[in-house]
Amino acid sequence: MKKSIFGLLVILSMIAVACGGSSLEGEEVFITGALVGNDAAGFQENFDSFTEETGIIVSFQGSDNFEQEIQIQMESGDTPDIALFPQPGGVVDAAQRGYLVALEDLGVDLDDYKANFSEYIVGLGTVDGVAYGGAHAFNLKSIVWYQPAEFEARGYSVPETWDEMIALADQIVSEGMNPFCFGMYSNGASGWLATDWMEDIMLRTGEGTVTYDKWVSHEIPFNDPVVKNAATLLSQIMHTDGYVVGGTDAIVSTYFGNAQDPMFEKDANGNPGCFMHRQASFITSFWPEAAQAGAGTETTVFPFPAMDDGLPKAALGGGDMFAVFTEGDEAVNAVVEYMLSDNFFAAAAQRPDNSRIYGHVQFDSSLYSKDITRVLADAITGALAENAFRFDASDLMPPEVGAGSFWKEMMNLAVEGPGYVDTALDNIEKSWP
Amino acid sequence: MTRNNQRWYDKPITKLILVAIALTWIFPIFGFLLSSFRPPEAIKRTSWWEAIYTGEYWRELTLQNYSEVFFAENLDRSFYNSLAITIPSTIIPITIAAFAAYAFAFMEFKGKNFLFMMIVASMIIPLQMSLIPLVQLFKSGIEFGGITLIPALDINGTFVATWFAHTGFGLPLATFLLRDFMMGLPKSVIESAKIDGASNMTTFLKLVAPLSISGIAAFATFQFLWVYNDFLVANVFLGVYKPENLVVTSHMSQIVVGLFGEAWHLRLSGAVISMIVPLIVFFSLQRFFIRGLIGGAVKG
Repeated sequence: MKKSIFGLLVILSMIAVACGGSSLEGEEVFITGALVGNDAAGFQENFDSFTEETGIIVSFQGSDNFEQEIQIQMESGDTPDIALFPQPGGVVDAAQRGYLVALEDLGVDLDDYKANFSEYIVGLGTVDGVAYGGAHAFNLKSIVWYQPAEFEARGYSVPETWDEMIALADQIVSEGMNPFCFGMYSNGASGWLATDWMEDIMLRTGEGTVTYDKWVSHEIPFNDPVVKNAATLLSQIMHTDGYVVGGTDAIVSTYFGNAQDPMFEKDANGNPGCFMHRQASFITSFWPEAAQAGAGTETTVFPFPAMDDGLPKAALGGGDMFAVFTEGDEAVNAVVEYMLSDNFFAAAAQRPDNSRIYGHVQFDSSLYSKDITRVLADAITGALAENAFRFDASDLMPPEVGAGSFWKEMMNLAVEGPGYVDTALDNIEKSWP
Repeated sequence: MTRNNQRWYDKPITKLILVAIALTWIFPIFGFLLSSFRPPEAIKRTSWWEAIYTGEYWRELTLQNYSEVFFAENLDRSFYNSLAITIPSTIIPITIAAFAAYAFAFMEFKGKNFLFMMIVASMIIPLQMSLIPLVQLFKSGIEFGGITLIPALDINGTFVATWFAHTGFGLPLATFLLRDFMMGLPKSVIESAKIDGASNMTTFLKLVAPLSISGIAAFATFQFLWVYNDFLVANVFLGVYKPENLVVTSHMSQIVVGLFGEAWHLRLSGAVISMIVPLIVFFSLQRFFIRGLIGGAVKG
């Protein structure tokens, strides 16, 4: 749309203006992103009603090489109108290099946007005080998977606090079973599951999001007492005898995608291998096929339990953000306005195959076609409303730490045991650039 | 021909080895051709040789994979795009290379060897390394000391950009091959033309170009297949964010990949369908490979 060798669009729009009709009829807006297959088809469908109303043709073309291709497209000057980045980092990078158009210049009401998604989310796509990134879908990590039927049969209740969870775990151990599934092997990225645990604990201890943000930006050292407390609590889960199915060996050697399998396998007495598994919402696609059918019903989630008193219900997660390359185009502006409106998210949530979670706080979450998505979405919007939703800390820390020493030392901690907590944190602190 | 002066490549043992190599080469293609007619679950369940052995192959025969790919949305557009890239990207470099090859083969000028060396040397540069600089060149041109050497064409995302790119990437090899081919033409023919007073242009157009037709056709086939099967260059220069800009290769990968590569059974039929065009091209140009044209040239 930015450029057409035949100037076709220019002529078209001139004719349209001359006729005084709806000047956006037939305009094309191109969006690209990392979604492919059904996700891409679903994303495209979200625009059906919009196209009917405005006549603007929105075309989405996803690619599994999106992150490389968008780099080339930015260099070539032949960019799509809108790109849907799988990480806010992509938006920030493109904005710093001067390729993006600020949301304000597209006619977005920033106050509305902040009210709908929280100051924190808007801040993730902001460079030098100018907002570039538009919030889209989110995923949630602060959840624990469990099977309600197994809990009911044994008279367990869903733990709402950390202490209740520990008490429940002790009870399960005393009854001769293992409470937790925990596997964090992930090839070159092994250890990220433990960093997720740490982040969830950090969000719920000390001063909550305040200490979390300081921790991410290194305003408090990595071996601060708050962080040490979090690591000690994590070590309690990893190293208490009987807590994790398979013990420490299983933690470091089990592929994260298979970690939950014991929950679906019953032993001779009809007991599952584990009862609780803390893992992000995407894990369902790694489950055995039979288990996938029961996602949200047979196997569902409870929020990661609260810890210190007086802190809001926090949520840890990640998300997509879109950014705009084309300036001064009415059709693009209209699409952007639609993509940030509750109408768009309502249309997206209602699609029967939708499993993406949207963070807009203004739309009715009962519209979600799947129960599990609604539960997750409520957790996210609840946290957003209290400004207690945070992105994965290890993604925001410098790569030397967030994708290096933090992962590595968490693996070491799992192997070495509780006595290693201080060494691990000191080592990570030393590696901070 | 008597048995004594039988060449090494005519010996039965050589033929046996050649047949063995050819069969090894064909075996996987044969396998996926057979598999492409099987339902997706069956492909994942058993191997095709097992299926043929047990007979279930013939019972389950289906065209489902083909119809799924063949009737994919906009596939016709992608075929059109592929041809719109491939045909000019074959003709342009060959035309330029034929003139250049004539000069290198039959004309004397200063620095000829050095220039030819540079052309051969440029074949060594990996295509992948020059993609981004080329993209930037197409966007902003080249300015040197305040003088615009190449204007900012801003042609990225158009077919012209892919033609230029493929021309650039194909030229060195084309020049090299055609020069070698022309050097092999009988010198006496060209010399007699010179004696008759033909200019270089006349010699090239009337004599060398027609005589080189088999060499040109051979390279045209190479270039056509390479450009048609290309995925990278098209994706870089043709802004793949537009659905109407997909070429056959990128379209196939879109259909086939799915979200987690779950639609890989379509890869089989997709490959067969996208092979149709190269096969047509190959078999229709094949007759030019027969180098009978030169045989009687000198007698005339």
